[in-house]
Amino acid sequence: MSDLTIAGRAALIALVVALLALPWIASGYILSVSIICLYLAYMGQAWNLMLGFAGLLSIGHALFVGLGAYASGFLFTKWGVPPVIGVAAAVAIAMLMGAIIGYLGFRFAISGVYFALLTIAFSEFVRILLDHAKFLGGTEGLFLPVTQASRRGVDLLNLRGWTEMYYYVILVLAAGAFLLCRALLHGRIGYYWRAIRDNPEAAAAVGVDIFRFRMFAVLLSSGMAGVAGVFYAFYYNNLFPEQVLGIERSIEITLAPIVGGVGTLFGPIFGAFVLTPLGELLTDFISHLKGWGIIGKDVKVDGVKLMFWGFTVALIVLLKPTGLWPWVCQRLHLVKPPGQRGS
Amino acid sequence: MDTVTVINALVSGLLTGLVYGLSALGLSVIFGVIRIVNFAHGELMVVGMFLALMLFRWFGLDPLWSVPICAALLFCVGYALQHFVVRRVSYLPDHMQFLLLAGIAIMIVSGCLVIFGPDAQGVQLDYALDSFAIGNLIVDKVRVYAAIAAIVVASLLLLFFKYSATGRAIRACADNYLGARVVGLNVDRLYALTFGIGAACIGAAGCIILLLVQVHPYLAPAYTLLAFVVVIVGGMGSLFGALLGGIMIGVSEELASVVLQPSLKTAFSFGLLIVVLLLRPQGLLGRVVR
Amino acid sequence: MIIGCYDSGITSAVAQVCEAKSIPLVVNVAAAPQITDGRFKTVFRNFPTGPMIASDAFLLQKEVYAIAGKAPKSAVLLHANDTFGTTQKDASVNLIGKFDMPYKFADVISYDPAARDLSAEVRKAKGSNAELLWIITRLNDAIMIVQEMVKQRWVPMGIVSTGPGPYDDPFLKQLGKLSDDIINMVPWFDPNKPMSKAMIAAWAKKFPDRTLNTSVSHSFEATLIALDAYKRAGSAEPAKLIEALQKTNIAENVTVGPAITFNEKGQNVKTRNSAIQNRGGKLVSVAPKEAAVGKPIWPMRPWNARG
Repeated sequence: MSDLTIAGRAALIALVVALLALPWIASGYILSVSIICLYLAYMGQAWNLMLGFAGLLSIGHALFVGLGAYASGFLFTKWGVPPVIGVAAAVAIAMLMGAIIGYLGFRFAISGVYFALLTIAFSEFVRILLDHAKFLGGTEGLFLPVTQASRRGVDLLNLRGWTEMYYYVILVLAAGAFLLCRALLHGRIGYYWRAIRDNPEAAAAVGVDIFRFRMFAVLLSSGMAGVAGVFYAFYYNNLFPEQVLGIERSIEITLAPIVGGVGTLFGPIFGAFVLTPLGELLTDFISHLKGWGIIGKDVKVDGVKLMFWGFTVALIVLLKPTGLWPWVCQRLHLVKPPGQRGS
Repeated sequence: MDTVTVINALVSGLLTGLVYGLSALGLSVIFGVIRIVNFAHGELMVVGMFLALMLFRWFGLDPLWSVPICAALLFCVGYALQHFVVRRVSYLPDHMQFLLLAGIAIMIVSGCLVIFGPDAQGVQLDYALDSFAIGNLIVDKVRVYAAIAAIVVASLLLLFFKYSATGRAIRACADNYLGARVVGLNVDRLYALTFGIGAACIGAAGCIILLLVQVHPYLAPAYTLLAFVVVIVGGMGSLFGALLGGIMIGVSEELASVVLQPSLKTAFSFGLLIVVLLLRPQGLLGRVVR
Repeated sequence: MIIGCYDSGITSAVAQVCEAKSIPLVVNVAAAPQITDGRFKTVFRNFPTGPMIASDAFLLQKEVYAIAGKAPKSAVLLHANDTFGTTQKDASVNLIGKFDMPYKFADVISYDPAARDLSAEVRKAKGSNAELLWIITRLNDAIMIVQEMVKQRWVPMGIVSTGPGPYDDPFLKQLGKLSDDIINMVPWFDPNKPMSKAMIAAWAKKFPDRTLNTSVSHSFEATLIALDAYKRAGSAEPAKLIEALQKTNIAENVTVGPAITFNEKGQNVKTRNSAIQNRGGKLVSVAPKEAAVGKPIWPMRPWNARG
């Protein structure tokens, strides 16, 4: 809070109030979109850890989400283990996978593009294995038991209840992720991370254990993604390897933080809040264009929407490579300039 | 399974692998020289495939004859891409370059979706279902033509890089960027040429692959990944490596199908990728460049 | 009330939502057994389950082999590795023991339905030296499989399909003569029933160049069921509709089998499949006897010996 200007603090308070009050003022549709928005914001924070803080580009993050989802989903479906306990297994398995990939990456000195390809390879490999795993449903899918009572009431232990409940759960997760990253970044670990990210050789020379701190970032990132997987499983109640671990999912996860600003704290959240409504508005806009006859009736909405999307992303990379959030911060004077901080 | 099946599988894998190798050549050339990872690789190939499809529909042109046309058109696209767009982000970190090319890839896919629709479409050739029979060996005619075309294009490329002045200039840029500038080479123009040549390769490969496979917009990511697997196994930056990698992947896919289940063959390729990345990241024939 | 959804995976997901919101779902096409295994109270399916399709396939094959006088001694199962394909494969492999068939499965081969080419898969199937090729596919892979068989010069005794693909229009059009002689053992309409004749005539008038196949006949019946329930319920309230659906008993229908009824799990267990053979771009019903309009061609003719 001390970094923010008065305008910044006002904006933050307004945001928090709006988020808390949303379920009371918004329609069911907007509520669902907001849930997706917050989910992507949370995932963006998790992914951002690995790239922004450990300097590792991962294009296979959906793998950790998938592992978490299948682990908790399976435990619930087979043995009735509630997600509040299942999340431990989910995080453990996701972290284990993260540890394997991280260790292999460091041990064999793989970085940059090669590391990204390694993450894709692992993600696809596990996805195809899951396709063949009969006990997890395989291509037929894993279905969590859903009854008529499932969408009523509030049962946090089993993650069953009104849609509003899911909204608050993901809100808490997203806020928690933000606060956690902030705390870490402002602490000693944050300094080590920034040193490693900006100049690994110098950091090593000063005595920072690069391997240990990078691994910590990887484990935290994958563990957080695992928790997201649990949410995913109990919100959607059906899991297909292609849907959960497909490469489109992984790319989707990277969009918000990159657009918002990699390595920044609020960037991923900002990115999610910009991209998700933009996507929905685009769909709306395109149907209107069809209505006005500007686009032919049988042109698929998907195609045009994707085109705007790709165009937006390319534009942002060309014009604002550090992300939109730093720029917005500056323009709206939300943050105090470096010289005036630390009161 | 019996020997006949295995031998048939090996031959088929070899032929298909040569085509994979040609497609990977484009990627290898671009990465080996410009050090840019072209995530829009599969998308460019799909554009080539659609071009060949259109030429077939409008003029009845067999895709094999469309190869020079597609190559030329995609050369222009690649040149423009490097000169106007990619050049501006070469100073940015890896993930930004990835995102830019991913964004461009998405635009290409969506453009294809809008123009051609999502359904799979292919060419119907008269000789599409013919095969040569040599004893117990039954070889698909189309696959043979495709392999020959791939070898021809690859050879032309190799000759270009080995013997022509421009080719040697491009190799100089790849070997020693600073030295190339000192000597007075126009690196920007050479980079654009390289991207164009890489794209031309991809276009040629697309035409040839259209003989074997039907095209639809969502085909692209699979081919991007395939090209990466081939190039990493064979060696980034090595032209022979790309061909060798292609053959290895082609054959291993066939063998995996015969020995395991065909639905696992892609997993096998990824497993191979992981192993190569760990044990020998420069690939079989690549140079260790960091 | 919702009618749908063709894809088994999607139907299961939709059923979950319908169950949670207590809205009735009438399934026109979807074979995954778990949709009507008792977990849902609001789902009613007028389409056979995977095991039902498999059982019927065995019975229909026996009829065909008896008429033709020739039965295969070995079989290979080639299936797409998606929801429908895997369910069907499991059912077929698990139930073959109960039907005293003249063959065993020499091999069971699964492939990725998104595969770009299926030469390796067909080669593996050919290598099993089986006399019967049993396929469970979607549309594009069915086309690719036949093309590969021609290229690899493989002529088994015959091809049986228990899924979509070989009876779809694009398959028949693109492959022409090569699409002939495949026998589809799938849910179908009974062309000898009076309502079927009316449906066929109306379809021919409205869509003369599209074939009337499973998707059409079963969507037709699903709509029939929905309307019938609505009439008897007298209201559009979901609870009343569900009650009415449970008591469904429609004697005048178009599919093979007796009147449409649902058991306590929402499944119509009495609906049967037919064997339909591709002939010159048309689909000819060859079994069961009461629904047949022609004699099966078995064994299949070699690829280059078709007129």
